[in-house]
Amino acid sequence: MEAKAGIYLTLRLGKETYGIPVLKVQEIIGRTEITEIPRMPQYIKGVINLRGKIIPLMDLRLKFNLEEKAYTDRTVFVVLEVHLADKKRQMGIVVDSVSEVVKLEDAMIEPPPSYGFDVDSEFIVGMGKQNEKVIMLLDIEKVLTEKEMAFIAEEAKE
Amino acid sequence: MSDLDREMLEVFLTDAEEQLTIFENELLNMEANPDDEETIKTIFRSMHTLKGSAGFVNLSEVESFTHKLENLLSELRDKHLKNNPEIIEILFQSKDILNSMINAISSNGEPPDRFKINEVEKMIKDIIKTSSTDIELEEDESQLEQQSMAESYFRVELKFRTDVFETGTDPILLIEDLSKQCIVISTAMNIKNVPLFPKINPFENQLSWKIIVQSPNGRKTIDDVFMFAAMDNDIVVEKIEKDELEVVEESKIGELLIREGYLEESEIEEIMDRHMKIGEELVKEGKVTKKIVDTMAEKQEEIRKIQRTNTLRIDTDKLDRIIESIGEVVVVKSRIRQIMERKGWMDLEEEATLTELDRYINNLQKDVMDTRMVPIKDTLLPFRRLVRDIAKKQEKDIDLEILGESTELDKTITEKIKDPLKHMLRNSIDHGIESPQERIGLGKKPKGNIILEASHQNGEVIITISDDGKGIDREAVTKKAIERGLIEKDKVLTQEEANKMIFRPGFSTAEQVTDISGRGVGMDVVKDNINSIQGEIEIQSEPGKGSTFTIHIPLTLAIIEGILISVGSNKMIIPIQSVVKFLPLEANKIHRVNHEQTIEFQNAYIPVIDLCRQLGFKDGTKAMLIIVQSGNSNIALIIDEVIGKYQIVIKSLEENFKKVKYCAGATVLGDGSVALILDAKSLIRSYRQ
Repeated sequence: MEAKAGIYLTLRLGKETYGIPVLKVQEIIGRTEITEIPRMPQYIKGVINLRGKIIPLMDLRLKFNLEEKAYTDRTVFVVLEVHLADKKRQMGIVVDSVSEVVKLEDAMIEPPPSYGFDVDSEFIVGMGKQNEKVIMLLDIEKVLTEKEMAFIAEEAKE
Repeated sequence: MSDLDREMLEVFLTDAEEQLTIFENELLNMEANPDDEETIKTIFRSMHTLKGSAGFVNLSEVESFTHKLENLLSELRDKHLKNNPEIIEILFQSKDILNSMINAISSNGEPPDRFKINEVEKMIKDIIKTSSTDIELEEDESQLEQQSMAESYFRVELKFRTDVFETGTDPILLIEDLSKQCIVISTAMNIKNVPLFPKINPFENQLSWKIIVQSPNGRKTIDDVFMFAAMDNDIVVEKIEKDELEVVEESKIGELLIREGYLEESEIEEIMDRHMKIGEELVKEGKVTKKIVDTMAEKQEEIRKIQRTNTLRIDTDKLDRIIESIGEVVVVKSRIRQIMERKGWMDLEEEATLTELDRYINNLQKDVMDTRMVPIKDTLLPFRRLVRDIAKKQEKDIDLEILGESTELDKTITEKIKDPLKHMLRNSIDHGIESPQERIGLGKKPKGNIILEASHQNGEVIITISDDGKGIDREAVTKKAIERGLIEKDKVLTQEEANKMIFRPGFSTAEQVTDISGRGVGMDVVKDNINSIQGEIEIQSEPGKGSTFTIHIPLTLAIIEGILISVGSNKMIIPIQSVVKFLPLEANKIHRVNHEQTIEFQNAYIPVIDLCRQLGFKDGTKAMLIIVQSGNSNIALIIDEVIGKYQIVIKSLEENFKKVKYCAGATVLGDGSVALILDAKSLIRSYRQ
């Protein structure tokens, strides 16, 4: 997959800035109470109630093997609408903060370099450059699927 | 395909399914009672309806096939053909063909074999051919009959419903048809109810007719014209003598004056308005009191209302969304209460308003849940065909009796019990009922009996399947269990143990796997399915006399009662039927046996599980023990606290996430937080392994 020109929501994790296609973002909500789920990897924080829907929440810091950080008032949950395992699903991610919405033209996007990342580079599909700032464009579906899908397969076998 | 086309196709599919169900049921009735006229007529009607609606959505294959069927059926109906098992078999096959035609449209199923269709169509044709010769033989007779009828006159009164246009019936077309089939002597149209021009609603019918006709074939010709309209419109066909023709009818004088054009409708009405209603007149005369008249008027209104009851098809998804929304309303309402309470105090008015809101929400919830309740009939009746087919294949003679078919339960549950019931019935036929020869040898009636009964008891639905077959063979079960390594070699099972054994995974007493009892799908799967809808299954069996399976299932799955507990820093719900008992945790009562913790409960040692550790949560106070059950197994769970009993709306974790180990779903609590619902069954099972 290659990053396409379009409008991106930028998020911050530590010093880095990431971008997600804004079309996949359903809404941004403040911190709400999280209910733990048994036997999940650490980065699956649990589930939350979004107007009656139960949606899972992934801590992007932990997923990217960054240092765990206690949630503050600035911590936001970004609710995404993604297409996973043949179904439209709502899933939430936890990020340090969201910054802005940017428009990236084709000329502003470069392919990802294949080294030198904290994040598994497979999740990065492009580098957006705007006013000297570098935005790492995420394949958010891949971030949300990847190892989680292995769990589904495992359970189906039981 | 446009939305409209798709919509129409959907309507067609629902209707087709309905007609095919009727077809099948009536076919089964026909098998028992081949010459019943009502049955033949009903089948004819359902095929006629199907043909009509297939033509409407341009499904020519279905249309032409049903047309041929209709020909055959009309021969039967008009007694040109005598019904016989061969015809019934053709009808059964036709039903299957139609079924696959419809399935091919609705769910991309396998379309029926063209060869098979041709074969059946040819059989139909051949049979109809044999009937034509019969007609010739009967001709003299029918000619006589016709002559006697030639002189028959009828008065046809047509009162169509106001919304008749919406039902697809056009009165004018019917009247035209009537005028083609019969000789019209006189027509009177009643325009009494038609409002003044500016107030006319073109979508409503306000007309009624009285038509006098001379019919060539007697009443039947007229009945045929109005066959479908007569089902929900007021249509009266009355035979009259020729000399009555002169006095066309005893109309009210006012109506006659209008019809003949002497007076305007409004003029009559004016006069009528001045006229008192009969009730008022009677009161004035002192014959009855005003109160009685008022009560009667209310009754009248009620009767009118009842007559007006209409039904509407609704997509179950829509209902589910309404139920979900109501769940949210309940949660938000609790939150308002909490916020108000946090404020410190609530004044009387606030309290009263909230209580009122509570009441309305409860009613609303109840009403909506009610809409999901459907009679179990549609689930049970198709089993008649299943039993017939399997019994035939196995050369067994079986009578299936279905009782309590009007018992209502949640639509989702009816869907989920279909398969388990099917398997159980198959088992009863396969392993329960003996062959007729065997039965005679045992001194039983050659015909076996299976009774499928549904009923309501204590807020549960009970379904029983009883057969008068051979029952659970204790020795065969013991032998098999030893073979399968499920019990020790020299163990002898009691009858009760043998009965329970059939629910054990990996146990199947079928001597060989037939294509009927299924491939390795045993009673353990049936039990699992039933457990998954919070139900239980039991068996009673007497060797040589038969077995009875009893299933207990909840009325609805959407709302369940559960105990809210806290474990670690989380709250969880345990469904109430899984909970046996709470105990304070006393360390000295817990014993260690082979590195396992156990506790004595009801004269048995049961395992003790630290729920926190099992689920991977942070440790809490661990002050309580809760004993939960699944099937016949108990297990004690160490938890922190029991908070209380709640009614909860079950939500899916799979919708946005996936199945979670040890959880049967989740729910939203009054404060808006999520609590997982513990699945005691999977917990107990994983412990056993």
